[in-house]
Amino acid sequence: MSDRKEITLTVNGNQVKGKEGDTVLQLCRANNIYVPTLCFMEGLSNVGACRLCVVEIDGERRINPSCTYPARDGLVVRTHTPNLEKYRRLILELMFTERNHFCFFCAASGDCELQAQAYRYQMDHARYPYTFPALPTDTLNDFMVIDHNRCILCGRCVRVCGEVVGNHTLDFSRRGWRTLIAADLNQPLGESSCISCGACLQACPTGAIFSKVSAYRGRTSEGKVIHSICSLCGIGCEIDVLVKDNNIVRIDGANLAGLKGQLCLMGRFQQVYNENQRIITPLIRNKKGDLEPASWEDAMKLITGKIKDYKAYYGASSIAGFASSLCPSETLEAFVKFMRNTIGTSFIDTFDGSGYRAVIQGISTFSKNGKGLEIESPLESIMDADCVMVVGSNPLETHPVAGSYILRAKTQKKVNVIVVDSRPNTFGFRSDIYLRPDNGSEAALLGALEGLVAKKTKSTEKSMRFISLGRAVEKTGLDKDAIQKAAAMLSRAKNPVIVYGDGVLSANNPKLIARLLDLAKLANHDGLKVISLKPRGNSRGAWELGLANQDGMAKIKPKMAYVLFSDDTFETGDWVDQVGQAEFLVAQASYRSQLTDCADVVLPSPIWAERKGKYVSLDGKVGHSQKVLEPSSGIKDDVEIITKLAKGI
Amino acid sequence: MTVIASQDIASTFQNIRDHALSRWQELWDGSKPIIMVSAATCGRSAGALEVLEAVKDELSRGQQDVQVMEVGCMGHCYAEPLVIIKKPGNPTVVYGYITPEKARRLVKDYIQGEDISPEFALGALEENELIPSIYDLPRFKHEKYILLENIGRIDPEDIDQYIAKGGYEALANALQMQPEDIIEEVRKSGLRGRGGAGFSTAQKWEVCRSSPGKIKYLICNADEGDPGAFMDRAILESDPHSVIEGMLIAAYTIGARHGYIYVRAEYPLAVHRAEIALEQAEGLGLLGKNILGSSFSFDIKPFQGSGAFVCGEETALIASLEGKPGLPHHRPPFPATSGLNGKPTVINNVKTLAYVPPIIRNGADWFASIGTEKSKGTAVFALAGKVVNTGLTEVPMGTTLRQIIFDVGGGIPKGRRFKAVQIGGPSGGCLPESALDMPIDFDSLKEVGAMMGSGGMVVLDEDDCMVEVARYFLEFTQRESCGKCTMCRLGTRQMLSMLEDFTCGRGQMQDLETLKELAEDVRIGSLCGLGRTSPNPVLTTMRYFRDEYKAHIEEKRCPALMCHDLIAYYILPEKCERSCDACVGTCTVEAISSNKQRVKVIDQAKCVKCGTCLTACPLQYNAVIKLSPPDKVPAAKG
Ligand SMILES: Cc1cc2nc3c(=O)[nH]c(=O)nc-3n(C[C@H](O)[C@H](O)[C@H](O)COP(=O)(O)O)c2cc1C
Ligand code: SF4
Ligand code: SF4
Ligand code: SF4
Repeated sequence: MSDRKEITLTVNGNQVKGKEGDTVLQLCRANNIYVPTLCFMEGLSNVGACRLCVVEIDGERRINPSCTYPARDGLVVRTHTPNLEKYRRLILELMFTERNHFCFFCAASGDCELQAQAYRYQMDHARYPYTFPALPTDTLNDFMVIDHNRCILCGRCVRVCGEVVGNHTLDFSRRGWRTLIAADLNQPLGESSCISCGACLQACPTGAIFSKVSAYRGRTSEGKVIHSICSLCGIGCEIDVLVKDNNIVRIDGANLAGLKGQLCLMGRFQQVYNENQRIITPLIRNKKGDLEPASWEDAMKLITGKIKDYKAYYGASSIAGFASSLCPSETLEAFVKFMRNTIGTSFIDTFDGSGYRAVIQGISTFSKNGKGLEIESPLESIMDADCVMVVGSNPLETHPVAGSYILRAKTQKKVNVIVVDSRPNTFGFRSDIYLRPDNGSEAALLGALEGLVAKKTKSTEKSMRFISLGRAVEKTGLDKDAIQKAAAMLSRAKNPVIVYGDGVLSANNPKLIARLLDLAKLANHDGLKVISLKPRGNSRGAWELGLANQDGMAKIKPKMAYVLFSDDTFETGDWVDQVGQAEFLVAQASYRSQLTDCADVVLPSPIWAERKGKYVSLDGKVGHSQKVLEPSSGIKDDVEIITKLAKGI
Repeated sequence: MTVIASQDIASTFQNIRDHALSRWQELWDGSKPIIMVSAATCGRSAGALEVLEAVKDELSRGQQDVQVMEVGCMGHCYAEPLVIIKKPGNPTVVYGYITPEKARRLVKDYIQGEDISPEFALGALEENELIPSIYDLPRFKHEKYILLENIGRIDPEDIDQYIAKGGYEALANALQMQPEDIIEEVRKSGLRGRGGAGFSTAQKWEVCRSSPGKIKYLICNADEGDPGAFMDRAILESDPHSVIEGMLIAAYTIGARHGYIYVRAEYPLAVHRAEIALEQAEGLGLLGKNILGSSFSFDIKPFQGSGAFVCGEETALIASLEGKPGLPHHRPPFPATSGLNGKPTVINNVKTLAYVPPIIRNGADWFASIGTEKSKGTAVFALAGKVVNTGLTEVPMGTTLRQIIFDVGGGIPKGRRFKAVQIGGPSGGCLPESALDMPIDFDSLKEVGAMMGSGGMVVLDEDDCMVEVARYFLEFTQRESCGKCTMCRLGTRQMLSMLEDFTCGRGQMQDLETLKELAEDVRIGSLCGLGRTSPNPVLTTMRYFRDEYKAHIEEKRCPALMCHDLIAYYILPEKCERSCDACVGTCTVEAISSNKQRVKVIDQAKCVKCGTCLTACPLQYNAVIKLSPPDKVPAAKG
């Protein structure tokens, strides 16, 4: 956009510069001229509904909202004449009479844009009678409440839900002053298509949508906002954490309308409030077999002792280490060093390591020239794609923000979406083509798609071996037409992206991944666009640190296992059984879980908010998570614990 | 586009016209009598279809070969149903107020017999010895038909009749012109949009034509959501080809390939007639691919609107066409640069488009010679309310209100006094007697606070309360406000509540100032035309009838005796005929009783002010009256 022509306007008698294509409001903001707004929100479409941002423009008979008025060279604009200010005050008065805006009882009081404007305009009373009816409140969503009595119908929630989240749950229902925000066809939010991402809540300028986990726990001005990143999944959304009295009050997306700023229910709500049971002191299994609080010294001594014993009796390779890739790279690095150098075992892994091994083998089958994860595409490439194929994943469940990108591409750019999953997958209902091959037959389906795409695009590719349509129909149990349609859709596209997720990663099938890559290469005109949705915030970081390199992990039977959970509570995969069978189990964890319950020693670990560190997103971007809380007393940093243990050996 | 096939276009059209003309001559100058029944929606609601049935039935009993035709609305709604009879050798006569019985008699007496039945006639369509010409009626001194020319004279379901009357000639001519020249011609004609705002049609076309992009659209706005307006419906039902031809010329000019007629869902007959017309035009090669053999192609789809008033607003209309909720969108960008599907789009009103063929056919100068300096051509009004001749009228711009109401409309019925006229429907204004001699056009109306709007013209007499009228119209716009922008959604609501207060006697003098301020703010600051024009009825009544507002507020008195809460019913003891009990029985709440002298007395506490007693009291006594304020009722004695 740098080639936009520069223009000069006169605003309040001063010459100000901007670019052609700016709105008058954009230009004012860029030049530090404050114009009040309510329905405007950066990154959303401009509707000119609230009328607060009206300005006078020479040559216009009426006052016009600056948020929708295109700036032109030579325009003469006035933003703060007495008439305009009077007019704005009138609008505020009218808004205050429309519905119940008694701030006293409102969760947003102090953080409300309407209230702030009223103060700004010294609106001490309204000259018009209150007209508000008693409107219902929708409390059925787990995390959010919609209180229509506070709604000013600015439509920010509607726009953010459609334009940013791509979910299109919210809309206006009814008309005139009877208008209400409604989810789907007037369902309660909790029973609607809402994915509880909370973007609407963050967009709402008033207390009309508020968070059950944050309400009445503190205003922004009472606490401190710390910018950080969310470390839950591999997207790495940017967050603003409001902390008051060493408690997290609220988590906002740092850049709601931009990429990686809208958050999902896990990042926004579940990190503020969950029902996990925190481990706050070291625990040791006593003679009776119960876990019992112990001192750090005792616990550490026990662990170093056991390590020495097992090493001495069975050798270092009787000990295996597992770490969650929710941990930042610094912790993981220390862990790798500790296991490899201090203990001397090569049996280390992350909870999601088997997925990595499948990916790497798949890539090497595909390219045979030693390439790795770098062949994958950045997440944003979804937004430029003209077709998205989702394989073995419901992104709205595992990586909701990635799901949003796909929905946005679909609804805004009419991008075709194909979903392939042998498991039931509700994302399939949001797609144009939903293919459900029989379990284990995905590779056959992809092989057939390759053949069809190669034919349609007249590919000269020789190295790939396709699967015939007939054979694929037989293996997958799918309709011939459906496969052909999907192939046609892929062939029509010039820039398709293939996104795959947990279904593929956990299938332990490198051939499937190689197929996927083949197909992506055939279908895309300028290369290869593939994204794997890695499960945890630092999966890629852990993999790149070599934590998951060890082949044959699935076969080992460790005598002693050291598991660094940190705040991970996600316990599935083969490694859980392996660990369960170890004679001696050490768990370093923030929360109680089934595995910590059968550990012999447990060390408390900080949670995400109590540590800082480096994270590598699923598409390889490095981010830094900040320490937003002082750790609870008795909690030591993971690196510190590991270093101390190393010293003890 | 080059004019390669000029001769071809002309000769192709010539063939079409020759055929149409010969059919028309056969019909019109043939030996068969013709009976035309005016059966548009207005005629139908007055019983035109029954009349048609009766005519057919009566004819079936005789041997005569008679051509029966269903034609459109003639504009004389007050005299519906209308029948026109053309019997060879006799003048063509228009009959009004026809019932099925009268229709049978006409068939018997005039078709089968020789009695021309002057008692039913409104007038003849040509000068003759037998029946005075309809053009001798005072209204025709002022009326000038351009849009209404064919209306009621041709069968809207027969394209040949339209062609025989000169139809599609303008299209054939236009296709041999350069689009720029058409724009120039339209500019010279001074045509301004009849959808309400009076925007220059040529300018709109020009902007759209010169906007970049290959795909452009043309939309005919036939939403006509304004209560009391029905001229667009009448034109579509009675002369649909005039609109289609106008659309074709407009589309050729701006470079559109696809067009839509956005019709209100409540206009099924208009949709039906438009569909037939489109089919017939396509059949003759006047619509569709390579029109008249030229390289110009255009198709038109009718689209049924969702019924909300605001959907007539152009950006809301586009949203509705796109399948979205019909909410207005801010402008700029204007549809002419970014409209339907983001492409340059011209939206024109039905009437605007229907003016185009006569302008091309007769030349810009002809059109520009009619009307005032800045408003050319004619204006079509739907006369309603307290006026003798309700219905459609078309007069040159610049005709005065007095001429329209008193000469064309025949004045106020029942000898009542004229009080005001509301022009332009809910978006228009209420003008007092002093405005009667003002020549009306787009600009003069705007100057006095009203607007041409859709052309609704409601005449009010001394029994109409101006505060109530303002409240009534505002109630409409307030209900129709889409709610998107705060000023209209909330401003109209607060304004309405103040007006309600006034009509209930709860107002205060300072409210008048607040109301005026609010009305001004709603006017200048609303997002779309609905909000911007909604205060007009309020502002004009406040301007011209301030006394009535004052009476309501200061004296709690409704001078027109209309506002329910401010009146009381009272039986004048000296007029009550004691022995008569007419009122007592009719009162549903038993509020009327006899006193000792058998004079009837209304118990004000029980009275619900339904007014039945007033109607029940025999005319010769006229003892029941309305009083305002209610406390003017003398205290009851014994
Ligand atoms: C609330 C509202 C309702 C309108 N309804 C109509 C309508 O029913 N028919 C119409 O032609 N124009 C209507 N208009 C005007 C249109 O927005 C538009 O100006 C017009 O169709 C343009 O046509 P013209 O240039 O031929 O006048 C309405 C405008 C508003 C604000
Ligand atoms: S929480 Fe997210 S998905 Fe649900 S309504 Fe709000 S923006 Fe839409
Ligand atoms: S709920 Fe909030 S964001 Fe949505 S329209 Fe109402 S005030 Fe605006
Ligand atoms: S002016 Fe009224 S009808 Fe128009 S957008 Fe605003 S609320 Fe809707």
